[in-house]
Amino acid sequence: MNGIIEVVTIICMVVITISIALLVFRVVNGPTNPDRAVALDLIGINLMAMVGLVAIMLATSKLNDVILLIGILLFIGTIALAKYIEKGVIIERND
Amino acid sequence: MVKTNDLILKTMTVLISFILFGFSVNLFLAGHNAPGGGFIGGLMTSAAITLMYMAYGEKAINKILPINYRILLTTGLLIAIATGVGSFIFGEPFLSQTYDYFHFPIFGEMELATALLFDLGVYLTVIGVTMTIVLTISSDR
Amino acid sequence: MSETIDLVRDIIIILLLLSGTFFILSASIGVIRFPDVYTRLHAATKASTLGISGIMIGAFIFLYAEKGIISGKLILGIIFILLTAPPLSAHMIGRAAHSSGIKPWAADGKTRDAYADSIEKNK
Repeated sequence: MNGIIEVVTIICMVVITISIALLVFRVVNGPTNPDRAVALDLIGINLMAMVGLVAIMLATSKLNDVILLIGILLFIGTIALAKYIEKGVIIERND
Repeated sequence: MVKTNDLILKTMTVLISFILFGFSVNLFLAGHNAPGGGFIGGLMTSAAITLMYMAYGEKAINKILPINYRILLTTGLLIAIATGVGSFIFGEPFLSQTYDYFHFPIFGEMELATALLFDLGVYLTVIGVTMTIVLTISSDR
Repeated sequence: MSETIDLVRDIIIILLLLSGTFFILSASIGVIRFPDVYTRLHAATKASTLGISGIMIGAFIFLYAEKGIISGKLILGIIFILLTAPPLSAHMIGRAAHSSGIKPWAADGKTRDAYADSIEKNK
């Protein structure tokens, strides 16, 4: 394990933690519902970056499934939120 | 109620649902030695089916995939119980599992386990339960 | 000779990680500071392309150098995020915000909304 990469990884994890804390403020305080949807989407992106940094720190490849899984669930959740804000229904009934 | 044009979502769903189905089969076969297994594979498959329902609407997907998810749920539970009861034939306790190494022409030496059959039951049960919940909630007015 | 290659590789990994983290932090500062939904969406998509790409390519090079693993799932994750997050999610959220009646922000108070004009014209 190289020493300086470990230090840089820890610094990046601290910065991403600060970034998630800033976004939680926007989720709680957002004036409208689309603001909250944007901030929740960005929190998921930050979680993906955090899992990537943990994979570097532990030097393992078992966490690659987790990164792809968070991305897929984040995408489906964001689409469902946007359809709910736009139309009020998520699965249309075509009748 | 606004009627909008969903062309971008419908076009991308065709590509993305293939990625999701392939990834769910990968997770299902990776089980019991690596992250994965029947439960997560079933959840990913039902996420792909839910995405198709969201993009194309309920009527079109009911025509493409005419599956009764309650029958799928029962089939999965029966498979899981049958793998448990099957260990009585060999005089072992309930739900005993075993594995062995076999030689195949293309893949070479592979490990086959009876836990895969139990995982298949869990996979079908999870798809049935999740899709029953999603469709029941969405059809409520 | 081999030590020089190792040093260059470490410098590349560190630069990728730091640039990805910089983009993610500046995106969330933008989400805090910008005035309305559309400009916040503009800031948020920078994190999901440049930030995620930087950190994932850094992790890919690190895992290949340290363990000899060529991880296809990290590359698939980058492709999936580039395929879905900026084009689809941002498009859906932006249109949902427009149809729920949020006016675009303008510094002089007079908003120019070409999308609403086009909807009016084609009605």
